[in-house]
Amino acid sequence: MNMKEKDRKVSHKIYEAWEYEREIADLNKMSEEGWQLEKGGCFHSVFRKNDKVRYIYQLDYTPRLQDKDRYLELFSEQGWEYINSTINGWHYFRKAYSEDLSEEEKVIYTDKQSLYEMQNRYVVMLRAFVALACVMAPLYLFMGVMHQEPAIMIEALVFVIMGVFMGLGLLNVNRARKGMKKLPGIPFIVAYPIIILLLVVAIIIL
Amino acid sequence: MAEKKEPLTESYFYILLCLYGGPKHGYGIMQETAELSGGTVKIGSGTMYGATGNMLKKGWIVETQNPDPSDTRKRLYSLTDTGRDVLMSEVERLRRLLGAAQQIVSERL
Repeated sequence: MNMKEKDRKVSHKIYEAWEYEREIADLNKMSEEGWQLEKGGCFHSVFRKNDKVRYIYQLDYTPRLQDKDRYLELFSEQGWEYINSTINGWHYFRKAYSEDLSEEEKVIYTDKQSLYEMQNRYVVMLRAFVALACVMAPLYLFMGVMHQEPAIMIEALVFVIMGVFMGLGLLNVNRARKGMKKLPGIPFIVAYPIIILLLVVAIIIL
Repeated sequence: MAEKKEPLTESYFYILLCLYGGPKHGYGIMQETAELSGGTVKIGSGTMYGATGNMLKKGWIVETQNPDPSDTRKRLYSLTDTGRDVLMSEVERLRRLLGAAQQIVSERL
């Protein structure tokens, strides 16, 4: 998936909202290896080679920024350099790495309440999607059986997969908060192609 | 009186406390909080933005322009009367808790 040039690298890795900590860990590792994030994106991130610097990264999810100027000021005064934002509301920040940084200086959320407040912005959407899938899956299955229509049954299956995919994400957010080990989720690389494939099949046979 | 009856989080409490003596910018609040708490409470940027945003909305604090043009930090935060009431009722609540604890474990406090 990676297009390589001499000093520029593009990554098309996708992270689900509930995997943002893994994305941060990956960015930190990339920086350690000399690849510095130039632009973060949902499925298009750009890195540039520079072995002279090393950064640590933080991601913040705030889709509705009331006052971006005020927001950036509070980050820059604590040494967080703003990189960019994605269209759906994720903001990328970096800080020069140093061994002297305390644990609190490496993160932007320093208490549970504010961290959960940030996470809840996507947790609310996840819950809505899971609830929708829970309603639609049996409804479509019922309609599919009633009308003897395989396309509608396939659509029911799509809702089941979506529900399980996002439900596992939601479950893992809750498990992490309770200090429990995360369960293996369905990777998007498996879920998305299956969903798209099923939808294409449903359209063809309809 | 205070609209919020729930206990304040440490971050909220320290932000209000730091502003008691007068307006400060975000970094000043963060530093003074670290000093006052003996390094146990550090308020990161995300936490600071969320907390100050909520308190601005509730009217506990207001944002003012930094009168010093040489300072790059444009914003100062200052306590409103409502914010002062919230802080004082929290101090009162903590005083009661401490008083209760002192009656039981006076030798340790």
